[in-house]
Amino acid sequence: MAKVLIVDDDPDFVSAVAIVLENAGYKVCKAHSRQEGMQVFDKEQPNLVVLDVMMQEPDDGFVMAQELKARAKVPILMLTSVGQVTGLDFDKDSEMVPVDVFEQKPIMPSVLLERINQLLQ
Amino acid sequence: MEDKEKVMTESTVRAPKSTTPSTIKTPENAGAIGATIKVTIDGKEVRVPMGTTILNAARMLGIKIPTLCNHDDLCISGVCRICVVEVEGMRTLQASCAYPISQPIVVHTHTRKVRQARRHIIDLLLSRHYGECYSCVRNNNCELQSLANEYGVDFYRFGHVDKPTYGRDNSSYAIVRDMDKCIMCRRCIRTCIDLQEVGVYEAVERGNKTRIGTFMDNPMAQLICINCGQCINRCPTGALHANDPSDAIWAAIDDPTKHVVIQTAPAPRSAIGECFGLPAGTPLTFEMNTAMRYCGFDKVFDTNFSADLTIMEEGTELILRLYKALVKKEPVALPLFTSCSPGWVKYIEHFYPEMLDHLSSAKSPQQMFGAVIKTYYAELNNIDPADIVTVALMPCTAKKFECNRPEMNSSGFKDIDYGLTTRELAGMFQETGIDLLNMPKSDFDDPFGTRTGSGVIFGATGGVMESAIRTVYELVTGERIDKLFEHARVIPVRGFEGVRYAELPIAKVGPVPDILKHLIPNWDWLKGATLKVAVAHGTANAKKVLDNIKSGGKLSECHFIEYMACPGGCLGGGGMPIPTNEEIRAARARAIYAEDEASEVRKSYENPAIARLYKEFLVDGPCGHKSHKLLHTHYLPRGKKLV
Amino acid sequence: MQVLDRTKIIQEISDLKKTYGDDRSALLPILQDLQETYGYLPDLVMQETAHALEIHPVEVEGVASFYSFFRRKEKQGKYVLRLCQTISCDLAGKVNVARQLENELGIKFGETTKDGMFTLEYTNCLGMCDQGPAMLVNDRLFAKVTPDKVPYIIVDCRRDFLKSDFPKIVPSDVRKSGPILSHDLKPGEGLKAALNHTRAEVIGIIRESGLRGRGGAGFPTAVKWQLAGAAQSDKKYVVCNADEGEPGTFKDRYLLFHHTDMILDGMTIAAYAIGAKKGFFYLRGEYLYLKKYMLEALEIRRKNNLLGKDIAGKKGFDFDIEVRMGAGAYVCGEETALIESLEGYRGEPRNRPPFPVDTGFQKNPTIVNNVETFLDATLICVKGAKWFNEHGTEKSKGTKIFSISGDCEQPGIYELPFGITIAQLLKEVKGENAKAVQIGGASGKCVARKDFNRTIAFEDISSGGSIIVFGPSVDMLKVAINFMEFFVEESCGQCTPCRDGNVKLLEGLKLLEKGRCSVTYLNELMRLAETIQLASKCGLGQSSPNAFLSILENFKSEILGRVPEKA
Repeated sequence: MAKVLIVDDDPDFVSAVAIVLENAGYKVCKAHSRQEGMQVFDKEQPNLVVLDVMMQEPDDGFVMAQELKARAKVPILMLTSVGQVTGLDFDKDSEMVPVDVFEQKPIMPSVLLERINQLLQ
Repeated sequence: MEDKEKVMTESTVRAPKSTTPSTIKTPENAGAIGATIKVTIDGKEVRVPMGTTILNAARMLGIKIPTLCNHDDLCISGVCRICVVEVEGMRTLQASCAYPISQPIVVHTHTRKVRQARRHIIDLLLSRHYGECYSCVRNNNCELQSLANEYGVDFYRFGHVDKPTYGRDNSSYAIVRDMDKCIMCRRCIRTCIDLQEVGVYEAVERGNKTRIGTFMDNPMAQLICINCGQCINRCPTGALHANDPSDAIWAAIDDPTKHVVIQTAPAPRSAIGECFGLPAGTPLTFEMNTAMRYCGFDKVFDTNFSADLTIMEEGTELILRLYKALVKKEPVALPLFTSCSPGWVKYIEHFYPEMLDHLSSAKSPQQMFGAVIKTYYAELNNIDPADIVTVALMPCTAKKFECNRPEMNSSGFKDIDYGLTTRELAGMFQETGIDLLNMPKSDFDDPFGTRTGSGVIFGATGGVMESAIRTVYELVTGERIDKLFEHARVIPVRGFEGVRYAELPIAKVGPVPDILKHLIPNWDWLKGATLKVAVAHGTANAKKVLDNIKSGGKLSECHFIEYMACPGGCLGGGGMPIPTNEEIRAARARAIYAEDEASEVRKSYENPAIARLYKEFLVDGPCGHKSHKLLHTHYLPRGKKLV
Repeated sequence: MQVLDRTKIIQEISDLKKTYGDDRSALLPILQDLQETYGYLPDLVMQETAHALEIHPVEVEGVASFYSFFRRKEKQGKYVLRLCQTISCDLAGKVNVARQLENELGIKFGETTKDGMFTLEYTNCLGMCDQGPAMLVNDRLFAKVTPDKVPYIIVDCRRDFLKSDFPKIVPSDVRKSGPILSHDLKPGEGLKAALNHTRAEVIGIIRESGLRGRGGAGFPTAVKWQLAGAAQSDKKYVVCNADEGEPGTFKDRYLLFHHTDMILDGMTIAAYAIGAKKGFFYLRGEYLYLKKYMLEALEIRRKNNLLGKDIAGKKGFDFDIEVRMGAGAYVCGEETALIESLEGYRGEPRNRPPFPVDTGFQKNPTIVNNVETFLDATLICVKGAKWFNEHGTEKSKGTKIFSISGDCEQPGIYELPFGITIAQLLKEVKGENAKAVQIGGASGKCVARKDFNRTIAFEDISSGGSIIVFGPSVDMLKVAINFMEFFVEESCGQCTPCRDGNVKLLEGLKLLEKGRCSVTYLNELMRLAETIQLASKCGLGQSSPNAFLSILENFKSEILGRVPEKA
């Protein structure tokens, strides 16, 4: 079964996503910062990464996405609440924000699973 | 009838609430992952939707954080800093009213730093506030005073002013500015620029010289001010208050040669209890009647009578304009605008003088009543009108200006001598030691005493329109409106949306009633027509509505538009008890509609006092010669020029 | 009394709208031009401007009264003499110059001569701190003014010297150069180097260099650019903050004149990285004499395809820069206040969040960077991140350009690496004798001898570049008073702690001067200073009591119990 890495500085959010994914049969690994995320990624080699934007630095998510894509062709699902708080929205500019799917928090579990399934196919 | 069709998009219409600057939206689905965020405040946890402010999160937990510049009706400002709290991991304190929560945070609301900051801020505000609490109109209802009390101010740590610097501006009939009491919360600016879009005030100068100014420090009477008094309702101190006529009214009451009558508008009766600690929306109509007599008023009348009279005159004017437009094909200004709200009238005089002919020439209920009292009533009772003093209890400060308009004296006497606000009447009651709640109940005086629901709903936005629809529909079709709307509740024009649009199809027509026969031969020309109406309130929407009409937008197709300058209509008026907010306005509205339901007469034309007036006095009927002289008026194109 | 013709005014404003646009953001430039025409802003002019921009007259007055360069009531003289009252010029003998100006003109500060020729005013820092006392006459600058020069300046004015050419060289001494100042780049070279990379790569290079904002706050430049770059919007803006108002800073004035193209390259690189089409160059009103020069530089760049469409041959990369003048408000150096000012409002800082990177100019993603930051970014794009970050400390990479003034033998501009100790710096400038050094201007800290081993870096004592040296004879209480007077005047006036608190601190200092402040009250004021730091709305307010606190902490014994000077 596919393995998914969840990186978000909000532990509540990480565990909520983890529960949803585990119930759907995925293997889950977790990280709460960009640095930890890269370490876990190298160790676990997940098939997909669910990534937050604002962590210790407000742009950690973008930086990590760029680093991940430089390293592997892993699909990235970026989730963020930034848009709702500050009016940020993201373009599909693969160069600046090299993610495969972008979704706003909050997200319905069904939508999350659907996106992940699509990305893994 | 279509239901509240949206004629403008949400972004262009301002509800009474002015827009908040940040783009925070509450998530629609609470079941989603990440829909809420955990916030810990003083050790208590709560999950709040993304973007909730710390202040609101604390309120959800029942934790009190003091506020001053924050007001529920206004956009976030974050300038007074009284609501600062400590957020773990942040170097400085954060203004809880302005901080949207976007990640899990831990907040402390009463650490040493927070307590020290609050005290210092209160002390600093007091140091420049010329606080003469004993003689202040807001004594015991002042937010600064409460803060000083609640947060333990026991001496003027940073001194305080003992002489006024600015002096009072008493020039306006409506609003008194006493800038020595101003604490720079800027609510009046946000009220005037954002909520009402009139723009009397702005911060001027900079640094320690910053103050709230008017254009080139002109006195209030010389400014483009519509006298709505919304700034008064939002001022936390006594820096803004209404021009109180109660001393002059007492003098009239004390003068045995004067016959002092008071008419009471619908809105105050649902709110006056708030001045005595009762919840908003406590109806005290009949207790208030007794109390006013106890104060010494010779007669207590109900403005509902002249509200009904307004419907007859304004409704007839609408029919006449439609007749001219549709049958005679004469050029005529449509849509017709209501003219009950003196703030709205003055707004058009200043900002859209070219549209003055859209305003109904009918005087407002306040003025009509005055004219009737000093003519018909004086004759009936054989009193010299020179000895009658007419007082109008109103929810409104603009009414003070309106009654002093020089043209409002068609009887040869000033229609209304004094406009009195709800707050000021409460002050008169307090002076007499009246226990309002326990006053025996009594009714209004005749000959205008019939309880009418069609008059009482004038107090809420949409009320004039609802009354007009009830009357016009029945006069034209000869059918009961109850057939269309259960219990005559014209729901589509009710509510608090900024602009509401509705259509009323006239499927069949009846015979022309006697009272209108001299004006209209038959209704055939209205058969199959659809009456299009709109209701709007809060002056921030006025520009949008008027521009929409000018540019030929959807509202230009309307036949009749009700506009109230104040958010919520009269029940949110500038003379109503302080504080005000959405919740309080809604409670007052409920009381008003309940009184409507309980009334014996709910259609203006069915009011027997109205029928009698037309029979005995205004014998040439609505919009006839006599009514034109007494009950109609004209307006001034004032324009925007100040210099 | 001037007779004003309403029709003519309306026509003028309508013409100005064609130049500056018809939304509110055109307000400041329109008012600046109208003041030029009328010598002040008469009621009628403000009212008609309001009507033309569909705002309320009082809003125009609110803006006009916020900025010290606008006059509302009295027509200003043909020549407005603005004498710098900031600490460095004060130390250099401003008082005597002021007295002589009053004597020569027969008027007090704030007044205009009866013949309408001269208006005398104080101004805050003119950015000539190494050559004080400085004075601005309209847009012409005078340095090292002495009382005996005053009559000559006035006679020159009477002879209409302003018709002569504006000075080509704005004098300043670079005492020590470094990798940044000694670069050999040609206009456009940095930009072209950047255009060889993808947008993400450009930001990557900046990130690797560790470049942090040179204005003083030290926010990582790459983060700002990344966030604005990722934002989806048709309109994004790059703003160069050239509102160098911090007392004791003059390096930007030097950089603007001598490294103009590298700064404009930096803005263009930023525009490329974040996807902006428009830039604003916000130049402080006191540097009006640089405007013409900046406009010329921009025009040349347009001709050379370094601005405009398909810049440097890069298809679809369009960008242009508009120069906007400030009008005398220190607080506009704060980025959100600067944006408010650009939008035509009073320069009052906004609540944060939201941040300008997503909700900036007219609610669009906007980056605001300091002049020096753009210069550094340009050089980094050519010379690489490693070249840059081999200097400095772990958390403060690179070198920094300092403006050094006060009691030292060699005041001027220095490029020094971050991490330098104050003692080393004093040795460089030959000011070892100092009893204290003000690091970071009025909003910075006053460091006493015992702390001269501390370093200048974001992680120790941060500075936007202003260093003022105080010699042994300087009265530190007078210094504190000068700084507090500055903040009382320059606070935007919206939040309580900064607006009213600083007044109390200043009053307290005046009590100390008279020897009449109790220690109990002084301690209360120290706590109030802490409140101002913690509870003010913006960075200016939060840093306003720094000088007060650090001077009182370090020099309490010098300040307490003093015998008042006899008047």
